[in-house]
Amino acid sequence: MLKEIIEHHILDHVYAYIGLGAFSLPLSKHLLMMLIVAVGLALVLPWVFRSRLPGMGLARTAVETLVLFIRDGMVIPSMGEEGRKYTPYFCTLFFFILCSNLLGLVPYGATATGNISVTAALALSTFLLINISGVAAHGVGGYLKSFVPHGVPVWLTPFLFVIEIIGLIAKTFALCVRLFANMIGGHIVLLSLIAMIFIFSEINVYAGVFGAIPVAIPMALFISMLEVFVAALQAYIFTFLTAIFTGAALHPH
Amino acid sequence: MDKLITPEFGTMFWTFLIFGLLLLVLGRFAWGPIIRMLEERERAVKADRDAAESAKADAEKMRDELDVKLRQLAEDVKAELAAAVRTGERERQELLAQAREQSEQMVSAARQDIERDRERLAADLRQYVADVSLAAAEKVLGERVDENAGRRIVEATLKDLEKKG
Repeated sequence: MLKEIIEHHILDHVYAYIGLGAFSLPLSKHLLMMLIVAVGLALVLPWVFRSRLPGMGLARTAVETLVLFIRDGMVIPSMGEEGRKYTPYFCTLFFFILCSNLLGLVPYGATATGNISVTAALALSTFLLINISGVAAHGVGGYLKSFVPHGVPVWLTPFLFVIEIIGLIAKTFALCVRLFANMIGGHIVLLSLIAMIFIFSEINVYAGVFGAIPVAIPMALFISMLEVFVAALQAYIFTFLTAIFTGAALHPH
Repeated sequence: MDKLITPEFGTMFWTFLIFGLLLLVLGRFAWGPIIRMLEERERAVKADRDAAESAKADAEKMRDELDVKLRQLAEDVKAELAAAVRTGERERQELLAQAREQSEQMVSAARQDIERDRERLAADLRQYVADVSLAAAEKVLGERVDENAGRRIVEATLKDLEKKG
């Protein structure tokens, strides 16, 4: 029963499947959430930047500040000056993850980043960015050579090469799981707290109403506020780690 | 719960698609213009700061130059003043010496004049006294006295008188 409730709230709801050649693609709630985020960002950000309405100055300043923070706080420190041209990628990544995270806190919303398929796709994008930027900076041979540090004995080279590649995959996997687990964890805690009210009510109605509610609701409120913080923090961490890994591919030593 | 931790192709595909499109759209319509504007603003701020710094450096250089010039000027003025004081002192001394010399000359000339006048007066007086004495002696004797002899006598007498007097 409890398992079903939790699954109902944190799993994706597939409304329908559409066949596309050999694949059948799901039309789901998380897809809807991603579309809302993407369309919202694509409409709101250019509008905020272009609009000359008196009230929009503040929003524009906020967006500019975030862009500056991403560029000067993450991209350039970890990737150097040649990282500048990757700034749009990191801005998109940060805003997409942040808005997806926050949308899960809105009533009737769902957290697309609490879906491991979504975080896996984002982590794979990072994986692609790391390798593409490495190859773009050093060429295929140079990039592959950069996996093994200078001055390593020849017999160690194959082992190190394999270890470095495993490391790269592990980083990507960790990115994927970190974001997913952080977004899903808060929801599970929230659901458990709310569920406590009903569990106690099953045992005794008074225990549920007068015992569990006064404890569970403030704690749920606290966890919700923590979730707002975690939403921003995880967006920051995902973006920052992507910048660090890409920087490591650009400057191997 | 297996479903929770099993990635599934369809949603990954949608995520790639949406994220990729968002990347293109935002890169073209949001981040591009925003970053361009930020960089332009940074360039403008940097240009302003550079201009202000160079203006400040210019002003400081000018001030230093003026300081040096002013100090030099003060030294020049001091030196000229000292030279003028020295010249004035020398001229004063020269003028004083000249004046003293002139006054001494004038005094000595006056003294010579007085001496000369006195001697001439004394000679005239002697002549007169001699004439008067001779005339008186002629009157007394009633005859002509040999002028030359008489004069010799008078003059000798006068000399005796002068010696006594």
